[in-house]
Amino acid sequence: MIKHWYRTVVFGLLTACTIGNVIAESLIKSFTQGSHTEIVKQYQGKPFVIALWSLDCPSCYKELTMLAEERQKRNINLVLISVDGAEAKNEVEAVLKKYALQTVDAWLFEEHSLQTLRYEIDPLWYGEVPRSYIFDKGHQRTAVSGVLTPDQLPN
Amino acid sequence: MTMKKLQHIIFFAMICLTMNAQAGMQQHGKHKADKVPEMCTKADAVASLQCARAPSATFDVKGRLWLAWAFGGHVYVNFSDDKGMTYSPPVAVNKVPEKIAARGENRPKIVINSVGWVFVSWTQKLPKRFSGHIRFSRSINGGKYFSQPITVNDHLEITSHRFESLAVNTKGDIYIAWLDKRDKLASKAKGQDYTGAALYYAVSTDGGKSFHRNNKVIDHSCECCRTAMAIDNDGLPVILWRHIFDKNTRDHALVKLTSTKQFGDVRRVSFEQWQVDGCPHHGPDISISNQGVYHLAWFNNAPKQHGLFYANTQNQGQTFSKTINFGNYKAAAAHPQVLSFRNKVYLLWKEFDGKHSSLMSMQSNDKGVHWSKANLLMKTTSTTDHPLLIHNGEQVYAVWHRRGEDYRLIAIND
Repeated sequence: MIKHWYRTVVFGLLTACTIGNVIAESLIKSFTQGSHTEIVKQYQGKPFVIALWSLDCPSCYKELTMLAEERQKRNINLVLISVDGAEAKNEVEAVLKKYALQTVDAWLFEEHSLQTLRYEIDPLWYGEVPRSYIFDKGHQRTAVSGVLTPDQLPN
Repeated sequence: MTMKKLQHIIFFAMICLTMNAQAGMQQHGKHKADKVPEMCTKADAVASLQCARAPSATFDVKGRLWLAWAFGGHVYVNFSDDKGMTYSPPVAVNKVPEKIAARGENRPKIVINSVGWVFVSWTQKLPKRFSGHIRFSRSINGGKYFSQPITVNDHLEITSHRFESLAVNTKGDIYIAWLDKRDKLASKAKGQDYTGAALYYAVSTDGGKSFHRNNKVIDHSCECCRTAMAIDNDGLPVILWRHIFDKNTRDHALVKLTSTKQFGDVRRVSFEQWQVDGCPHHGPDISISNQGVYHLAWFNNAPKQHGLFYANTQNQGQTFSKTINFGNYKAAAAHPQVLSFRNKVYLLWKEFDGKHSSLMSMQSNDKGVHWSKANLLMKTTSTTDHPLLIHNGEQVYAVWHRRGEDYRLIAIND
């Protein structure tokens, strides 16, 4: 009986431990110097889309709605990056949850629309949002300003 | 339970804690040191110009430099009598703290009338996303005490009344223009679509004690770019803003008031045809010369025509000069300012090369027909605010706020 109790505690601890780590991992990631390169590398050989958005952009919510709907229909390698800055983390997470996008590869600029980070993604991006980069299999990319349409998403 | 088993449990618990702590640290480790200096972010940080958010600057007729800026729920005003070398202690405008929009396209505004009354406006952020009120306060004793703030928008439902611009004429009439979503709200209630926001304005003819009822100029402005306003030679303002033409073409328009209550035709200013269902966060600027020439600067990012643009009109927007494309597009030329002073016109903007931000200017001696080469005024690796152009009646200055650094004037010489 005592032995069983002991096993249960150890098993319980390990389970809690794993869940704790998984939760920590699934949190929105801080987008900082080098993150863009890291993301592109992660999707090597695969088509994917980087969609940049911000809380204070009405059109961005249209795009989030569309992305959530498309994800219901098919697999899309989607990277969502909010430019709002670390101070808006809770709000950004709440929006992702509301739009059922909490499981996507989500990132958050360490500081609001930080120019050095925008530049790393694209020197010719002026900060307008939504802004997206569609990468094909060979990672040729196309930049789009404004709300994406479903047909622009990679297959 | 034996001691050994207890030790095992403690051991597992420790491993778990360590693993979780490491996961947390990885997250944290990726987060580079905050660009905002620690002295500005710690809990007991005090209001100072170094830690200010989004300051605006103007000179009064006696040459005193006045600033309005946000810090921790208050708008503060202070001044300098030695062209920005030293500043007076800041005075809080709103005594009761409120959320103030003070980043990028949003900043507290400050203007001074001919007898030295100080007028301040800002956008108060409200709990709902995209919502705000236009707030106003004045000081009639040289900035020692500010009146209790009033809300200028007379539609008080929680929606967007934001991106205001502020101007005062020599008579002392105060004009505020802003982007307003009351009509969008009304359309939504009827189940109808409404694109963008609307341009509204209000005037105070009692020295800022109160404002007349709000007037709508036009529906369907772009909703996330600053508006700009300047006073024409007849004392009435001209407003410049990014408008939505057709379905989603975000070009610029201007309107001139013909009395405190009436306005002329809305004139389209720019034709780059930037079609974007999105937020440029990039508003225009206007300055009016003593001869009544409107000098205009803006940004657009259409596939064919992009970057910074300048044009002027000598007949209140009936016809425009040739549009000039300026700044280095490949160096992220952005956030243009224009200023007409004596017989010259100045343009100011910023560029970025991946590491350094550069403050650039150029000038025209013939009302904007020919322009000097672009001059580099300053280079920095700091995070920079939008730059501003001001003059004190003798000299034109650029100001460029960088949090944590001194707020200095940069003289623009020929």
